[in-house]
Amino acid sequence: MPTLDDERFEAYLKQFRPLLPEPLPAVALSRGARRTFALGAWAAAAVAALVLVALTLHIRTNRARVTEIVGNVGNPEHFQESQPLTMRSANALMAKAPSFKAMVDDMAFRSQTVPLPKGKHSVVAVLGKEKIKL
Amino acid sequence: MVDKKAYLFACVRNAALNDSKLRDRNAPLDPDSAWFSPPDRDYAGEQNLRRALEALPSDQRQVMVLHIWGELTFSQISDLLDLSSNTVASRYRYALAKLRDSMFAKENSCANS
Repeated sequence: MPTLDDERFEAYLKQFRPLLPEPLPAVALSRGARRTFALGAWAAAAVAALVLVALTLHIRTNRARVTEIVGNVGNPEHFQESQPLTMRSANALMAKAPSFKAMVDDMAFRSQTVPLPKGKHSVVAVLGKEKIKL
Repeated sequence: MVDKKAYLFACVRNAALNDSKLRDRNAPLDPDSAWFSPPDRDYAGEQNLRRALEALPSDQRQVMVLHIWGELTFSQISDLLDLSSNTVASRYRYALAKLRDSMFAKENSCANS
């Protein structure tokens, strides 16, 4: 229970009204810190530009490679010379050839430039030897 | 297996970083700036009150400021500070007594000198 003195003292204290706080002082950047910040910003911008250029080049190269592959799908010589037979290329060849037999014959009697690993046989060579009734 | 030396270095480094962060966060107050608008232009009284408040332990000062100038009840302060009402009331009583002693002692010493 507060005594009368306490109450009077409290009343005295309450006469002092708190002032509004001043805004916090802005922390000024030192010259060195400012220079470091500017250097960092330039370095970040340079790295970003390099990454952008590398990405653009990468995408363009990929696009050119895809275009080349797509363009070569219908060319039987391309498959014969550079890569093994796949379903896709076989389909492309079948679409172009007048008949299945003509296609197999055409591929089987061409010389194979890509050497196969030991113990593996070319599908085209096997199909060419088999007697398939059409 | 943790390398003890590396662990110790990491502890010291983290402590130093935390300390520097804390120092950046806390800006010192201007010792001459007023905290209160005094009644009847009693600027000496305002300075006296400020010094007395500064001299209080921070836990007592918190309770004092919240009750007198924040106009919170002891119950509200106990909720705010997560303390019992008895603790809050006890801190307030101690703070009030210290503040009065400090202010009147200063006034008396000023009057005598």
